[in-house]
Amino acid sequence: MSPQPIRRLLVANRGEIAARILRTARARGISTAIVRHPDEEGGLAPRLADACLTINGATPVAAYLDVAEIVRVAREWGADAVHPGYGFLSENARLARGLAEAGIRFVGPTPEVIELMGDKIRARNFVVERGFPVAPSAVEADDPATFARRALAVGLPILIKPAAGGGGKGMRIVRDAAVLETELATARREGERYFGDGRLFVERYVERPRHIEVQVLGDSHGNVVHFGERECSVQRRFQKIIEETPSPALTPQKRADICEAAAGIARAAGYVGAGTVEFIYGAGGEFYFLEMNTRLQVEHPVTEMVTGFDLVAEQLRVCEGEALGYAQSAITTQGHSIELRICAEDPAQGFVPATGTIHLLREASGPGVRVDSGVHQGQRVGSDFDPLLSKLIVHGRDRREAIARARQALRDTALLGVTTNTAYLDRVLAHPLFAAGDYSTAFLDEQSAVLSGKDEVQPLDLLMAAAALSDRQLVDAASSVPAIYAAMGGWRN
Amino acid sequence: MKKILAIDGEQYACTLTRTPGSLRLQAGERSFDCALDALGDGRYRVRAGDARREALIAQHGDQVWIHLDGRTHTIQRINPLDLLAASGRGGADSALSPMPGTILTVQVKVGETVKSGQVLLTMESMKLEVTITAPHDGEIAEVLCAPGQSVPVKATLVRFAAKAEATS
Repeated sequence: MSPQPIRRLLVANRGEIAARILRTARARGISTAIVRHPDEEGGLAPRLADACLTINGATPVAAYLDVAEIVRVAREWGADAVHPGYGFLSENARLARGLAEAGIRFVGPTPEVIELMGDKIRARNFVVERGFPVAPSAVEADDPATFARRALAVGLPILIKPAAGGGGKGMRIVRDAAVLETELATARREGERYFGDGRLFVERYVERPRHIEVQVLGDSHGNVVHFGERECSVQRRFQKIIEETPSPALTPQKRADICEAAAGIARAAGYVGAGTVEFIYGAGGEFYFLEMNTRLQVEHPVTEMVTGFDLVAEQLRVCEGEALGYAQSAITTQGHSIELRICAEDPAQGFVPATGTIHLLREASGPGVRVDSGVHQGQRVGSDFDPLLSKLIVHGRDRREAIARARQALRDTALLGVTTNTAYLDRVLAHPLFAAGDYSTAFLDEQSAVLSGKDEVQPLDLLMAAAALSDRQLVDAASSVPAIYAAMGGWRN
Repeated sequence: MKKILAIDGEQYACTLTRTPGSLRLQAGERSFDCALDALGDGRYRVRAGDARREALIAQHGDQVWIHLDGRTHTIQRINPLDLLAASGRGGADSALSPMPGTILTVQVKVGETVKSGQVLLTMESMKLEVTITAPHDGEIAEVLCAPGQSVPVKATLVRFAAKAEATS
């Protein structure tokens, strides 16, 4: 079949990723539309799209999760393809099927592969059967009555995960058998709330593991390639905040092993589109399949920075039916890239989400600096959505240069009016263990005393001066000559 | 006129007075001439004594954000008169929302006696579930929220009955 170009693309997402996808679509000459709930204010993506389509729902999040609503607006606008971004319906097979029934393409893999990889238990079994490594585990559905006992038999510490989950939601580490029941109950509630599915499984928790993932891409002609790994171990509450490539942990041989395992899994699944295979990497160099994300990742830009590929453009080409047109050997990497997630949150208060209005916004720029932003000055940041505001991505000839550029870019970033994690991110980058590349997913927790250390308020005099002199009341009070002297001045001399 | 500047949470009482040709800021034992020139677009040149720097400043009401030397500082300007007005409440205390979000469950009733650490309610914000516990033993005087309700940061969620004054 000859390639069918995409002419009208609906981006069923919001925030920075919607803006990111729109930029590539526009550069390819595609007409674009974005969705939006009536309660949403501002946002960069609606300014970049040719059309902004209203989606209805009891809450904004509910609207973005409503398959029928997305299909309806896509059909009404005359979309010939829908890009789901990440999160929301990006790994929802019902959306892919609903769109197919309406004759609209879904920018992603087939519904069958989404379902396979979306069910963490089936995905695990699939990977084990094909000879790829997974961690010891117990599955609730195998025999719910004995689940707690089987969970303990995996060997503490264990990690509880929702069967339908992803992105760290509902995950719990259990080190003490006494709290197992309570933690299972909490994880089940969260699973039901976020994924509409309370089924759980547990697996052996690898202490001080690294989280390393591999970008893969397949076309509809049977070609699958990988774009190298991303190191995603800097996490708080199982959510990544800094990612980099290449991983400082891997030897060339390990890198080849893990990347080939990822490409092998994608090939076995007949994978079409961009996807990510995530692994847990132990201190001894052992690695286990964790899950496969059948979508674009938040951290995809670091891969783009070192390979020069536009992964969104590749997704669109594959969706149009084009063959990749290049071999694995054509994908080479250059230098080092780091991504920093700038979030509306207060690290000093346990990373609680922050809200407010962005009264002033200055974004970083300079050699090797890229900003994928979803916000603009004047925008209100509420609590309806994820706290990610924008991503700062840097590239350097080597890791040391990338870190230096990242730190300068953070200093050049000003987002006044909403509390963000920029100073915290800088403390992480400045940490000797980060500089040495010697960290695990436990890094932020283990170093929390150092990292939460409040910066000394410097230079205090300048801050006081700026705060006092920008206060009209204070300045007016100081400037007005007391009334009695003014009155006297009127007629004496 | 005196104002308290809470700079990243640290409080400094400041006064500003006019001196020939300048403004003088006094905060505790510090005292220095200062100036602020707008350069447009939120950019300013700040001077304090001999130090000069460019800064980005945004303000909203009594809240000021200053980006200086690569760091953003949050400053709350407090009029001491407002503090006096707020201190009159005394006696009872309350549990506040640590973040904006939605109440999931309320697990206590008015009149109920709770122990320190007991779960009062749970709330959710940006997909995080947070448990609000009693800061001390006490009796619940008022429950000011209900499941499903959206609350801003620092909203009073539960009020405790005033503790009996210790009598000697």
